[in-house]
Formats: sequence, C-alpha cells, structure tokens
Amino acid sequence: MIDIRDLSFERGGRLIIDFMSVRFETGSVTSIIGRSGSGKSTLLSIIAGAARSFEGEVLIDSRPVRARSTGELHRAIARFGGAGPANLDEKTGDFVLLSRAPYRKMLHAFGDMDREAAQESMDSFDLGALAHMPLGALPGGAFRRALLAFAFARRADHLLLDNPTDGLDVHDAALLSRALQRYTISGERTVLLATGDISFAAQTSDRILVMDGGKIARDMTPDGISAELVKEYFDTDVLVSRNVYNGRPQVHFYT
Amino acid sequence: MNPGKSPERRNVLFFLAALIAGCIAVAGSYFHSTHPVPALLMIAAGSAACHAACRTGAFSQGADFVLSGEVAVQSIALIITAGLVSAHPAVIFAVLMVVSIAARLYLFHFLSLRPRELVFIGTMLNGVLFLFLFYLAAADAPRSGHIAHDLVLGYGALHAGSFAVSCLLLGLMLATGACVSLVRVELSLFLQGPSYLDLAGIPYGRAHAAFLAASGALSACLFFCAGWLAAPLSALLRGPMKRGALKNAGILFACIGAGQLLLLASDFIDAYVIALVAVCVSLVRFSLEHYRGREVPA
Repeated sequence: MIDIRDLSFERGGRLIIDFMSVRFETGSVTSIIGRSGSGKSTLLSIIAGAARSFEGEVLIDSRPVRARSTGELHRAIARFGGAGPANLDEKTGDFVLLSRAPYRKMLHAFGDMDREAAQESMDSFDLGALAHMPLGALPGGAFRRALLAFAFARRADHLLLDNPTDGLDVHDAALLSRALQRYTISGERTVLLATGDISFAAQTSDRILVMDGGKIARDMTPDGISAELVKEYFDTDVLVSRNVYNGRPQVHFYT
Repeated sequence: MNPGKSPERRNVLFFLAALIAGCIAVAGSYFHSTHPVPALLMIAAGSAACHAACRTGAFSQGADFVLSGEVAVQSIALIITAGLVSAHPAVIFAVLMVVSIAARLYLFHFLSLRPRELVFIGTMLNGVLFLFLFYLAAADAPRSGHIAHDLVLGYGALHAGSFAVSCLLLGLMLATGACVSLVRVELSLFLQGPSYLDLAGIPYGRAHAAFLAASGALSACLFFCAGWLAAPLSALLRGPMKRGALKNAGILFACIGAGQLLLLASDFIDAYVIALVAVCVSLVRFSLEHYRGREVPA
C-alpha cells in the first residue's frame, strides 16, 4: 500500500504538488491522468524516492520513503520512465537481468531466480528472440518494450509506470496490458500508471485519478470518463464510446 | 542439433586453439626475437592491459582502443614529454596516465560527446596518426632508438630494464583482468548511468572517479607496452563468441600471442608498417561492422 499524506513539492519556485493526500491500495492498478505539467510524473518520482525534498509524508507499506535505504527502496519499487540506458552496446537480455541487481549481493553473480524473472519478463514483452541483440540495434518499439521488461523483471511489490504507452504500437500496448494483468493477479502488488493515454488507462485500470495543477481533481472508476471530463481537464472535444468487448470507455478525437 | 556446433563446444575449441597459438607465439618470440625477456614480458603486459581495458567497455561504443583516438593523443604526449621533459620510463608512464585521464574527462564529461561524435573524433585523430605513420614508413627516418620507432613498438617494452618490474606489471594487468570479471555486473550498471548504478547501492561519484583512474592506468599501460597493436584482434574475437570464462581466457591468450608475434615480426618488418596495419585493421573492422547494419548509437 502507498499512503501519501499532505504532500507538497516545489521546484524552481513553482508548486508542482499542492498539499495532496491519497492512498493506493495493494492489488490495484491506478492510472493518474492529466495534462502535461499537472504533476503526474513528479508524483511518481517522489514515491520512487528520486525526489526527496518534499513536505508531508509518503509511506510505502506503512514505512516512510525517507526512512528506507536505497536498496530497500529499489526492492520495494520498480519504476519505468526514468533515465534511459547509456550503454546501448549491452545485450537486451543482459540489460533486463540488471534490473535484479537490488536482490544480489555485491560482487556476486545473478542467481537462477534472477534469470527466471528476467526471462519471464522478456517473454511477456515478446523479446525472447531479441535477447542477444544490443539495445542500440533494437527497433524503437522493441527498445521501449525492453525498458518495460526491465521494470517488470524486478517483481517489486510496487510498480510505477510513467507514460508507458509512448512509442508503443497496438501490439506492444496489448502486450503491456496483458503483462499488467499478470503482474497484479496475485492481489499483492500495486501498480501506478501516469499517462496521457486515457483509453489505455480506462482499459487497464481499476481506478482513475485526474490531476490538475498539482492536485487530485477527480478520483473515480474508469466508468467516470466522459466527454465532459476530457473537455474540462484536457480542453479537447472528444467522443467517448464503449469497448464492445469489456464495456470500458474509449476516447476518440474529432478530426 | 549438431553438438559440434554448440556455442559451449565452440568456446572450448576456441580456448584450446588460442592457448596453443599463444604458447607457440610466446615460445617463438622467446627463442627467436632479438629483444630481451623483460621486453617480452612488457609486451605481454600491454596485451593483457588491452584485453582488460576492452572488457571494461571503457572505449567508445562500437569502437576499439585505436578508434577512440586516445592512441593519437598519447602519441603526441609521449613525443613532447620524451623530447622536452624526460625520457625516463617512469615519467613517461605517469604523463601517459595523466593525459589519458584528462582526455577522458575532456571528451566524455566537459564536452559530453555522444558515442557517434566520439567515434568521429577518434577516426579523425587516427587519420592524422595514419598519415604520420605512413610518412615515417615511407621516409628514410631513423629506426632503432628513434622516439617515433620506440613509440610504435612500446616505449616501456624497449626500455624495460628490470625483469622484476616487467613481471610485476604483467601480474598487475592479469589481476586487473580478473577483477574486471569480478565486478562485471557493477561495471555494467555503471556504464548504464547513475540511476542504474544506484540499483547496486553504489555512489556514482566515487565509482566514476575509480573508473577514470583505473581506465587511465590501463590505457597508459597498453600504450606504454604497445598493447594497442593487439586491440583490433581483441575486438574481432569478442563478437562471435558466447560469453564465458573460456572466451575471455581465449581472447587473452590470443592477444598475448599477437603481441609477441608483432614484436618478433619487428625484427624482420618495419615497425611503422606493423603499426600502420594495426590502425588499418581497426578501421576496416569497425567499418565492416558498421556497414553490416550495426549502428553506432547517436
């Protein structure tokens, strides 16, 4: 469970998160939607422990994020959307395996469990055949999938995904949707998505938060997504239909 | 599946072939070279340094030592130091190490060059080196004892006086190679960037300083002992083999063997021609790899 109490965060004299309180229950997939600059990514950074100069309290499984060591944090939280890999000569399979580093003792090799987790994550994202390719030689979509596989391979209790659908085609997005379902099937993990892709959020999430100006403007189920809501918070006219397969909302633009 | 083609078996065969070839090369150099044993040990130390340095990923992505441009920078530093400051091997080694670290700091951190830009600069610098070597090979320049000649065949190797120092350097370089294996995961995380190294709980600043010092020392040693002549071979062999201890040991033996052969060949062939060939092989290998579809990241 992630519990955020009275959180405020300022950067460059600008209030990015404005006195926010929210709780993310274990076993749920929550999407945070909102326009660029609404504070979605910053919120994920704070939860991941990457930004520590905030006011208020962030509790991960009832322990303050500030009280946790770096290793503890990395074992508890996996994050997608941070800095990309610098060494693109690394083979894809080896790169995904590196995600298991927080579980490994220094100067020790990775164990069978680490390899199994990395392999499973690679398979989830259809990367098995590309394991021996250098990251730099992967096509754009496959590269993004490798970054996602890196985050999933950690098997952390809390998974934070910042704009996970950027650069993914329909096939890749379907793989991500399936991987999310598998990841939370045990009911013991929490997933947070920060995204501008409202349709994907509606298809994959149990709960939707709309952020606006550093605050949570709406807290609802995916069924709460409507053309009026999109107009109000994204200033865009859209048509919202229902997916014939699962009845969840889908957003269409007028062109 | 044909077991004869399995990667593991291929690694064993490669290791045995490299071991035998390396032993033959060392024996050939020992019995037939005009150079003393400390020189042979210094060249072996240079090859071991080259092998360790290539494994750290310390050089530009997709390029080997020659293409990184450091050979060219170190060549200039050596000529200036030997000509104007001191020709003592210890002074030269210290200057090379400082120059190597400074070059890395400048290229990677002050300029923050991208891999493609680094390769471009390296190629340009090596173009200058190529022309310089070509001029020396074609001109009636003095050979033995001349600074340019010593530079090509390894200043440390040609001025290796003490057997003990040579042994110590070789031992150090072999131990460094073993250490690289030990810290392979930490090294991979370091090369991916600060947020990745954080996964291992290691502060990036300290790791960076240690990496700069270690890679500078390796770089200085491999230039000082002409290990860079074996760099293209190390890069050529690294690609097709499956990762493992046998592969690394095999490449190490192959590099040491190549270094010994080059030293032996210098008794019969012009040293400048040997250096020219090394630069050319490096450029051709890199170009072939690049044009076969492997991009240097932007």
